[in-house]
Amino acid sequence: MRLLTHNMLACNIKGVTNGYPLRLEAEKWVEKEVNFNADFLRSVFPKIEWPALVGAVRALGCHDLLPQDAPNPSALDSDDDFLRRFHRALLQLHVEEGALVCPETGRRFPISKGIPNMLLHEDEV
Amino acid sequence: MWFLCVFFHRLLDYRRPEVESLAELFGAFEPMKDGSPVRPRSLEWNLPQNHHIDSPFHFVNLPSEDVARNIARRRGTQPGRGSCLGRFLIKESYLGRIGWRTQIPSAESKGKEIGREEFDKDNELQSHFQESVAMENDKDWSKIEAKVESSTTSSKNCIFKEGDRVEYVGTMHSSGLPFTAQRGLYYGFGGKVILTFEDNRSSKIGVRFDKQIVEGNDLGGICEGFCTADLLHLDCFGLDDSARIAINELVEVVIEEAEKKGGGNSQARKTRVLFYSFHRDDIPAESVMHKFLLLRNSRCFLFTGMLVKGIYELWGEGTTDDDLEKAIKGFPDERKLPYLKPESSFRIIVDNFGKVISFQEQNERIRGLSYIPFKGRVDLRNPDHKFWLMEIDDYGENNGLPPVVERRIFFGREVGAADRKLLPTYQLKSRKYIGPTAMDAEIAFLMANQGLARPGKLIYDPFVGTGSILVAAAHFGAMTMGADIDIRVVRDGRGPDCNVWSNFEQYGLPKPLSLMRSDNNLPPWRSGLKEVFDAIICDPPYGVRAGGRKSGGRKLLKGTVDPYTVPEEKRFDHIPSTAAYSLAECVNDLLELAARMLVMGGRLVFFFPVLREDVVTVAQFPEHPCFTLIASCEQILSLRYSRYLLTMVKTGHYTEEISELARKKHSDFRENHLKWMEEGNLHSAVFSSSDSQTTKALFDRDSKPKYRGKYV
Repeated sequence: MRLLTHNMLACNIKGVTNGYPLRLEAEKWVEKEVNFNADFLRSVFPKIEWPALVGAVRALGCHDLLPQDAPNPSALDSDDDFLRRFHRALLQLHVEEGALVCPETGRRFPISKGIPNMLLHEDEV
Repeated sequence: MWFLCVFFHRLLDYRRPEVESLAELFGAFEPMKDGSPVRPRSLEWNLPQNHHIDSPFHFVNLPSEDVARNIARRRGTQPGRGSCLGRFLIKESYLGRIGWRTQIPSAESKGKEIGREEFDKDNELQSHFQESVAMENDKDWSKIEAKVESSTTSSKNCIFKEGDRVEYVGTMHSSGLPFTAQRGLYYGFGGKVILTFEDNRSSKIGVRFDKQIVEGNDLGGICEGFCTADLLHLDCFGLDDSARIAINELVEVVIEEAEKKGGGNSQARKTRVLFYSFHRDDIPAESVMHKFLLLRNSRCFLFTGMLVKGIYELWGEGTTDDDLEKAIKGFPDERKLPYLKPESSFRIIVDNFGKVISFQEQNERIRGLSYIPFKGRVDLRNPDHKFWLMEIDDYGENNGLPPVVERRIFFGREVGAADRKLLPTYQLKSRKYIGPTAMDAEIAFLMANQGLARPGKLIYDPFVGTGSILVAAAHFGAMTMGADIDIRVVRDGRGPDCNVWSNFEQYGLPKPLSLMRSDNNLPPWRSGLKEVFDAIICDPPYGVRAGGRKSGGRKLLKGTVDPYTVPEEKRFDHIPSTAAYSLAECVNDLLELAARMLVMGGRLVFFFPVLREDVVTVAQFPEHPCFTLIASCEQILSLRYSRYLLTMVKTGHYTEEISELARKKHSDFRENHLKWMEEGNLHSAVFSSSDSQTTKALFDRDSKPKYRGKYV
């Protein structure tokens, strides 16, 4: 599961209002290479919730990978180094085993073999 | 400009929409201005006189021959990127030197050396280069040995003058990434010579680069004495093209082959090979070269259409040979003569739709065209221009082909023609991991074309299953994401080497960015997330052979809405039970998801099944205020039912009101779960015992002609 996915997921249990961002607990994570495509990164950047992404990156131990505050979108065009880090954080870090934890209820959504299980139980719908 | 477009006789409804999608991809329509309302565009079509719409011959109005060629040949890049064709990967270690080298297949493949090209320019500049090229062949790539040919272009004999445009080709960081790690100038930067000192190669030259130098010696954009002449070379972009290079297609060795052999180690990965193809009269070699360098880390993808057999510039048509002669003679000379020159080679192909004609007859027909002043020489293997004499004649009724009223002949020059080589590679029978509902390769490519899959775009499939649709989208370079409610299909597959990931590995395609288990009925997206995907392409469960599921549990099946609670101690490993998912609710959820998550102008492509005994009009198809339906293509599956591939474009924003309505509808579905299950149940309608009454009625009312079947 990549951090791009993590950025989009939330806990939608009935009644939960503060289900985002999910806390990332990674037991096993790897780095997988993905083709670098600057256009894609630029188009995806506005849809990313920056604090959640930074939190996830920190949870994996890469504290210095991304700046705390979201940079100006113009950085995407001029700062190639930032673009590379963004690419690495968003697409190359891959959580194989672990869990996503809801901040409000503590419900764990397991991640196994890289695939998060977001299915809700019968009493959560 | 009007062209004759000849289709394969397959998937008849899908043919025109596919060409329209390809036209959109190749820039046939003017680019949308920001802020203008998103309105789907379509092409103008016409049929030959008296022809039925199922005929293979159509006329289409396209803006230029280039677009027509791209659509027909189905190769191209995103408009604006320049016309580079084929896959590009560059030999890393060689780029450190001046110029570049190519690694090309050896003499096993028929080699043809193109002689040295030298050209004199007005400003006394000389540069020369040589290329060895090989013709494309169909051999197994892994057997081809590489032979290193040096192909360098340098400024050795260059006399730079003030004002010349140059490009930096100097040393590069061995990490192979041209855009980073190099302080100062980036490889591929262009600039203008502003000061010349001497004219030997290690002399220094003052160059003003176009872009600001980052992280380096920023001298305000001016590099006086920074660059030595041997690190620059001339950029021939703007110059008049005087180099005409023969058509070459270099064979491609897939980097993945190297990776597989090398076990994925970095050494193998560094062995990237440069392949390119460019066409005579199109692009001068030097400008192609620059484009390679810029495209280093990305691949150019082949957009492939499936159903167009060829697109032709029509020189004449008629009912009889005399009519045809008159028409061709009447065709303006200035359009004909450029292709009849003595220096060029040509070939005439005789094609008869629905009938086979003997070799002698074909030759007779060709001889009958002697009134056309062909001056060039005949080359059957690789001619410069191909001409087609096509005929459609009365072949008798009911042999499975559309009815023909009268004989018609067409004569045209081929602008681009089919290459269905893609299909055999991707056929399901050779795919590692398939399931009962895996999408047929041809249709998956059609869907990907309809969804305008291309590099830089994000495509989502909420019913991903074995990933067959995403494979097609990934082939065209798009990033993909998928979800499914059945975790076994997505995560486990049938083993470590037989799952969704191995399908992508099999074809050397980039794997999906993410796969997850989620329920489309209750998606796990954070609130506020919207307009993320560029296209949603999927095949929802119809409930006929494979039923859909949604979360909610067993109680819902009995009509009880209140679910039960899972005891605390059993929660950890609990596998939630799922409830049946009616088609109506499934499609409704899909439209809602798409309305929210698609960007404006994004496409939703999905299959919608219908019972054939219902008279199907557009009114039967699902609707949503955010969407405009632009294509519906029928595919007959059985006597009882068929499915329509619907292509919708998002033309309206997902507003608060729409969101509110959606919530209400969602509750309605939940409250009346049983009722929807019965009403929206296609399964029973399809598999119910056949009533002779209704079947007879079906035959009588069957307006679709008999030759239309599953693949036609």
